[in-house]
Amino acid sequence: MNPLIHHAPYIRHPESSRTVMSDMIIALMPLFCMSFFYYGPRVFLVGGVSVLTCLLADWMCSLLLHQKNNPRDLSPVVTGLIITMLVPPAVALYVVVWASLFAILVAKAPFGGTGHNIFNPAAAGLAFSTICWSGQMFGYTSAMQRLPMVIDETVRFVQGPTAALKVGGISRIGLTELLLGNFPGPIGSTHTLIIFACLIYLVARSAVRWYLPLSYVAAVSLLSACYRPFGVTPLESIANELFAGSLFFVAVYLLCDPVTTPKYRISRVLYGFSAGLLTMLFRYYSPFELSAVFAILAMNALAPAFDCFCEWLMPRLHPLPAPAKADGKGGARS
Amino acid sequence: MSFFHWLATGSSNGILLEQEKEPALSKPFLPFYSAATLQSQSFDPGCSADGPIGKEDLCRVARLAHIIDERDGNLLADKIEHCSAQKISVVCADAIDDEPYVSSQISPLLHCRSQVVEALTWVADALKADQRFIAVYKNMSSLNTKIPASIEGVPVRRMEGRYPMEIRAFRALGDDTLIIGSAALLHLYRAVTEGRVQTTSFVTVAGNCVTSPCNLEVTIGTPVAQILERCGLLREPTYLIEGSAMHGICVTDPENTAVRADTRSILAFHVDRQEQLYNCIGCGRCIEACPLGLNPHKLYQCVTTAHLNKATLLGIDRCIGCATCSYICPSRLDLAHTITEGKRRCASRKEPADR
Repeated sequence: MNPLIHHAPYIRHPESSRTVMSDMIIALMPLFCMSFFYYGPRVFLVGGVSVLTCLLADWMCSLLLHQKNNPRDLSPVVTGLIITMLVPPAVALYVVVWASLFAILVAKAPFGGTGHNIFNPAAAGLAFSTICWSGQMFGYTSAMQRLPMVIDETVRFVQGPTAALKVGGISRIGLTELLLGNFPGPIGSTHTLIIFACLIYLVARSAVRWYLPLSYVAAVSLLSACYRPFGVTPLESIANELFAGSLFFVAVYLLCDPVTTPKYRISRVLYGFSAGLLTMLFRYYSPFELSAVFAILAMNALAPAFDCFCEWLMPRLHPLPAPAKADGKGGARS
Repeated sequence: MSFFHWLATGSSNGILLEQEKEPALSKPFLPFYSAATLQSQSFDPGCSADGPIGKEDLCRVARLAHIIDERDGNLLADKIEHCSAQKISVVCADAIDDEPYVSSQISPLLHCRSQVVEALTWVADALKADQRFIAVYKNMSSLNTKIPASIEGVPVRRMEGRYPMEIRAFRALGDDTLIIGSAALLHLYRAVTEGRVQTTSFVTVAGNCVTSPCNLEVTIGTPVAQILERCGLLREPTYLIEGSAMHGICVTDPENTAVRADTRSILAFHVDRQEQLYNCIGCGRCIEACPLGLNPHKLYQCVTTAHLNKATLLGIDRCIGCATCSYICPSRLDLAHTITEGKRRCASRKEPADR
């Protein structure tokens, strides 16, 4: 199609792909600020390395495909930032580089690039790093500790509360600490209050639909309230499960990625709910900690199935009106 | 709509468009005649405006004056004649301008109220219709003029709905409603009282390149370039559109493109940067915007990969070409154009099979 020929309509909504992606980037920036407060300037180094690697990989893929690279397509930046947010602050830089390379070169470009990928590239990159370097990926540091730029022996690694939850233990971190993120965890996914504020921004800008994270959180809350360890009230259990690890971050940023989610409202609600159930299943039965990310990957593969189901269901819920008569003038005489 | 309905359909029933009808709407329409209008001969209408006018007389006058209804480009005489086939109980004056910038039907209504209402009354009496009303779009905000609730005794019905509204609202009215454009009614009044032939049409000239957007009464056949010269251009436009912003045609040769009887507007836009073509990101906004609940995302995929059978199954025949999907698409894809092309290809494929 010749892009110089203009077709109707000639006015367009001011929102474009660039604004959708830049809304996501804006919603990730406050997390950087908070983690800078907790861990020092190393988080910017990790973020910079990740974003740069993603951008270079994407540019290289456009060269290989003989396509013009669109610098306004900010999706590699979003991928890089999401990978940053889910790695520990003291992670070795090569882990981040490999995660970003895998995300773009294996999970995105071979499927067709932006808009055609089946799996969320950030989730795929993180899963790759987790499987290859699980020790590096789960070695967290205590908060309020300024990390050196190059990790040396002075840094003490601790386990996050999700490790305790995995073995059926109870993490006795108070609610305030959980909400503010003042406990060992990944760079950006522990600051629940800030993520919630960013969620409100994203919903207001319609980058994220409100019912999608809600259905996910509902499923997680339901299961965590039912299957809680002995000695924990249901609300405490819900708070622990929701706020302790990467789950809330995944619910807002990874689950709502427009490319990989289903397109209809009913199918999105079902998708979010199933993703929540699968996350809790992985939490209870899998050895790895980043269970939400793996659950998202599995659900990405099933997303078109939800759409097909919805297409089958919707005509049965809403019998469609008869098509207009051949002259297109329907009811009134005009 | 109820929550269940909202959840079960994909669609939000259309889109809200920024109307931007001022300042053209509040200013009276300005004449821009050429020699054809100034030297046109008047005819003898043969009936008096004071008494009741029969249907045959109205048809005759409309035919002599060659009045064309700007809604659909049909002759008004033909429309009134075809009404003998069924009983008409409601006559509606169409002054709905649900597209942005266009106000070429409201403007003659607001500035020549009594004439339009008089003509409407003649048509209603001739067809023995019980009710008359004037239809105006409700979702127009920040207007300098207040649209009254009734004009000379005829109620003004504010039809509401998101764009595309005009098509759907009129389909909802019954088969016994006759809809005539308000400009055609004004021409009818002039034909009956003064014997004037219709040589002009009402056109809105607007857009961000036009110095002072206004409504003009323009002689039919005037080149677009002359009209733009009359209004004044701030800068070189990127797009020159004849018709509305959502449905119009791009004018490539303004010197040789002429205004027709059913031209509603001429728009001149300048865009600062051409947005590069992005890929579809699967956001689903097109599905929410489609007023008919179709899936433009999937239809676009089917048409571009030539799966026309699947497109027919998904309902491509029901597309009304309102272009809301293209408007809302953040990747600036030409969804409406592609789907309309696909619809045409599906239809032409079916016809040989039907024979």
